[in-house]
Formats: sequence, structure tokens, C-alpha cells
Amino acid sequence: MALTKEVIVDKIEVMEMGQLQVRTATKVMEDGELLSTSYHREVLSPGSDLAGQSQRVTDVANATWTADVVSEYNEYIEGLNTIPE
Amino acid sequence: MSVTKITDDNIDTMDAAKLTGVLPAMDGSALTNLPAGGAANATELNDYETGTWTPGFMDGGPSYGTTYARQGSYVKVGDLVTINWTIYMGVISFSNGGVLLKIGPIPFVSKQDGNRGWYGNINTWNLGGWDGSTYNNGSLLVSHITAEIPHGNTDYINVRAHDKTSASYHLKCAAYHGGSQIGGTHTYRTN
Repeated sequence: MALTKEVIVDKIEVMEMGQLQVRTATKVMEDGELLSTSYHREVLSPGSDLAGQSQRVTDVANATWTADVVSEYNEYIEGLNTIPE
Repeated sequence: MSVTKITDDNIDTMDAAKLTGVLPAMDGSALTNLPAGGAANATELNDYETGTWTPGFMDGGPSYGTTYARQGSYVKVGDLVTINWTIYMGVISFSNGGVLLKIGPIPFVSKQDGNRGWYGNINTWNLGGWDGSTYNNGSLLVSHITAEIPHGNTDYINVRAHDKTSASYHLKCAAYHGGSQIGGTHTYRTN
């Protein structure tokens, strides 16, 4: 009986404003049979730091986050942060 | 396969012939054997997921020292997401104390719903005044705090405070110091 753990990025979703929804799955297996799966989620905003991300996530981000996408996202968020006194 | 109904004084068994289709079941943290969704069955459950996320301060260049708790969980049913989170720090510093208090990134981007934000509850402990100049100062203590996920395509929670003497302000990161705790629960929709 051999228990193994596998951690993989199993889903990358590109959202309307360019954010990446990244799901990391942790799978525990016994002799190759899946026993359990748990998920961890994060959202990466256009232009955010990619240090520590997998190569696949980095590749998707670099392909998606053009200068225009990053600029439009920042302008959008800045508009939302304007607070009426 | 059959289904057994257990009551106080008897046990009834439904025979397999009365069961049609495959029953939903748990597979790890996801439901399986759910009916397929789509336009014809828009109200059927076809998406269920639970998991964790890591809440943090999104502005101000936070540097986390001693961490007591920095935890988040979520349950997603269809496009409805409920998140629960806590940040409890022993030591934390910000390179920029003049920015807004934004918590995130939340696990799913929020959905546009008119111009309304998604409000939730928030709890704080040992949190300082809105201007960040001091904390536990009676003249600056906030009277109440609100937490909102801004409407549409955002991945964070805005924390706002209403102090005793003026209109609404965002809390600033400097108001958060070692030993403070902040946490909350939100339900919102995602795309």
C-alpha cells in the first residue's frame, strides 16, 4: 500500500477583465487510486507578481496581460475606489 | 441498489426498481452524478465545490511577520459563492500606510449586478482608528465598519469605516497592527 500526494494546477480561467482564476488541486492516492481531492483557489489580477506561480500559469498570464489589458484593469479598479465623501 | 428509510420504529426499503438514474455522491470536496445543467434545466444544481483560499492585504506592501491565522474557506454552488476568512497577525508592517484596506484576492471574481456591491458581515478586534495615526484611541475609534465586494469583476473586499465625527472613509492599512484581528463572511455571485 503506497500513499502518494499530488499537487497540480488543474484549472486556469481567464475572466472578463483579465484576471486569472487559478485552482490548485491536492490529490491523495493509494496505489494509484484516488482517495481524496481538496482545492485551493486564488485570483491573479492583471499585472500582479507571478513569482512562485507554475510555468503554465505564468505562460497564460503573459499571453493574456497585454499592456492594454493591464491598463484597462487598473483604470477600472481606480474608478471603483473613488469614494463619495 | 436500494434506499433504506429508517424511522423510530421501523425500517422501510425502497426497491431498486423505483430508483431511476444515478444518485448524487461526494467525491472528495465535489459532488458527482449531478444532472447536467443548461438552458432546459437552468435551476438544476450542476456545480458544487468547496476549498480554501488565503486572505491578505492587497495594497500597502504588507510584510507578514508572526502569523496566528490567515485562513479562508469557500463553498461554491452554481454561481453563488460563500466565503469565510480570518486574518490574525502578531507582527505586520506596511511600506505604505496611506492606502485603502483591501482584503483578497477572494477565490472567485465577483459578478456584475447592477451598481450594487456585495455586502457581508465583518468582525474586528483590536483594530485602530480610521486615520491610521493611532489605535485604541477612544476619540478615533470607529463606530461601525462595513465590508463590500465592489460590483462586477473584482477580486477583493473593501473595508470601510464610519468614525464618530465625519462621513465614510476607508480604513487605512496603518490602522492594522500586530495583534489585530479581522475576519468576515460574504456571499456573492460569480460569473
